Amino acid sequence: MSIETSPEGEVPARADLVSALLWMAFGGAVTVGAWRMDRLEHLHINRYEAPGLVPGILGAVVLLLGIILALRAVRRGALKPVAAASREGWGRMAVIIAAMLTYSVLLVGRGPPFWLSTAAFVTLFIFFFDRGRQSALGRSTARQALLALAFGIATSAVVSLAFEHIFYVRLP
Amino acid sequence: MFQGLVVFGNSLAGFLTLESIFFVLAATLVGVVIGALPGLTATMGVALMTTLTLKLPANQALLVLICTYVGAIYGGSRSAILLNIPGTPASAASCMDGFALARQGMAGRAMGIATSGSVLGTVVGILCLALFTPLLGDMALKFGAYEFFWLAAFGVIIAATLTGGDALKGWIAGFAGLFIATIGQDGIHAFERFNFGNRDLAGGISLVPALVGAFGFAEILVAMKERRPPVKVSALDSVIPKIVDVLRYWRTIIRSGLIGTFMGIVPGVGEDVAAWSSYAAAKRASREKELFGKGSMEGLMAAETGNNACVPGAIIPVLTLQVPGSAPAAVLMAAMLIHGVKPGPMIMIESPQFVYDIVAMMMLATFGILLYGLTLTRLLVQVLRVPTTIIVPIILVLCTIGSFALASRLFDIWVMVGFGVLGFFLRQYGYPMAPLVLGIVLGDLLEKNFRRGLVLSDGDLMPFVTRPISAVLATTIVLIVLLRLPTVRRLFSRKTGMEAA
Repeated sequence: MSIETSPEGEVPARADLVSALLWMAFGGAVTVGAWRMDRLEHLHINRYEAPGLVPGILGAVVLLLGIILALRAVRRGALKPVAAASREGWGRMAVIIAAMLTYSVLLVGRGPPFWLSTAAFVTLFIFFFDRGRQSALGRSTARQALLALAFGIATSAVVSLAFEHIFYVRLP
Repeated sequence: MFQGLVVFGNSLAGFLTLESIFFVLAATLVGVVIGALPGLTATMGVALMTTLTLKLPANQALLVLICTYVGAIYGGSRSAILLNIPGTPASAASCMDGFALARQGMAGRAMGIATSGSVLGTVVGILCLALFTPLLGDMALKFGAYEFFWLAAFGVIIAATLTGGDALKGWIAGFAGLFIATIGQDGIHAFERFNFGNRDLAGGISLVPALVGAFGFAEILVAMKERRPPVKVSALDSVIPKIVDVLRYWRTIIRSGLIGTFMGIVPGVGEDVAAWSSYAAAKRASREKELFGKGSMEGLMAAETGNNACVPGAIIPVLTLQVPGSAPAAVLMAAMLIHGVKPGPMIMIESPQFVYDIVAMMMLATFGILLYGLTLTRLLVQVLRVPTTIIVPIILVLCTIGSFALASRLFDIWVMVGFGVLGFFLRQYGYPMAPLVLGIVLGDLLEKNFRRGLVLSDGDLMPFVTRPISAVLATTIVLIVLLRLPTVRRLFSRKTGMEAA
């Protein structure tokens, strides 16, 4: 299933309560921020043009919907003790997210040239995360590394050359 | 009538250059491949291609994007039939009968049906696009601030309601999206809001990096979380569509085409809902109901006609109202704005040629999918074998450099990453993405028209509910929300239960 469709399966009531509380905090913060925002009275503008009006209303709606969600979650048993949720697979996801953030936020545009960070990222990502599948196919570590390196260099070369010479983008 | 045909002829002739034909072939191929690969969707394809076509002239860039969009919606049927995994959400309904046919050794015939359904669905949609855009454009001229405010609210509410899942969470996501659109300088007094002194944030959240994040970065995270088993593809029979299949189901094709187009026109309701509604309608009307889900050619034809007819349908409100009909159409609209094309109620007056240009682009995209539908099957089977772990880092590189390329700002990369991580976690907690994104797209429209309306009426809220079109939109929104409340639903079900008894 992909991100465009609605998620399948029931989300536990406890998780709903957690997200509802976060939304309530968010909606409340937005409403307070909008209320305290300058209403530009010194400009003698129409009071319906105050910049905080719409964000304030939207924040209040999010707060209200958050409260409804929280109440619904409580009614569905969010406060009852439950067995600890399975955290299987989350360790791997944390590593994947960290790797992706390292590339996009820490490497690109901050030190190493784009082509180098891209080649290194693609190579290492494929080498580590495709390892299970490749090993199952009976490929040796050296061959896996070579394959990953080939993908890394090819991606970096094609993307760098295409963006620099066809799309005329100054690479970060 | 004939004047329209002449203008359309001019548009089509304008695209019959070697360069344009090359773009059509390349972009449709990219679309079909993106659509076929599970985990990569039409929205992501159009968003990524937007960043790649920045330097092209507006018409060529939009040609590429429309071909990618049409190609991706069609391409999703390949993996639906061969793997029982919808390549895009739009093809989920095609899995039902497509895969069943493939298991009976008729994968090729199923793909032929998908090709003819998609091509004819697009044609029905294109006809509606050409006919209804001028009509809806005329109607849109009657829209004032009050109506546009309700239209924006309607888009967010209905996107959250009709895309299935938890409507309450959809509304939360939608309103959060509307709020995100208000970050940065406000549209009337350029007052900086919620930017915490940050210069980049004062300019607001750019739409394309946010979309690339929500539909690209988040999507590859979801793909990495759900590990896909290795691909096994059965033998293929001929993929050439059979005329007899088309003739036999002509009623289904026209019905599904019209349903798909209508679903496209409704703001925020995308190809997946179009496919499911066409499928359900075909099942109700069919003489072979019992075959549905077990390998019904009619069911597959309905789903594939419906989802492709939705594409031109979704573009109609983009052109006339500046309100996207689906998630990929939202990206397409953002791309139009980047290229200096301003869709909206004035389009039929200011640049009527543009509407026919879009019709011509759709037509060329249809030729593209027909061509690839007949020729590309074996290559696509190979593409489907490429594992997610190899595609993911390459897509991430494209998301990153693509977001940067828009304005050469590192800030846009951070926006992309921020929305990606946020989108991934929201999804894990059961929040749909479409209303959030539609909220970001429609936030500006909603805010400006709400404030304008209040200023015009000097704070009186009555015109928001007493003007005829406003009243209809407001009542529809209230009904939609009421029907989602558990108490009202229980009341209705008790009533129908009593009637039945």
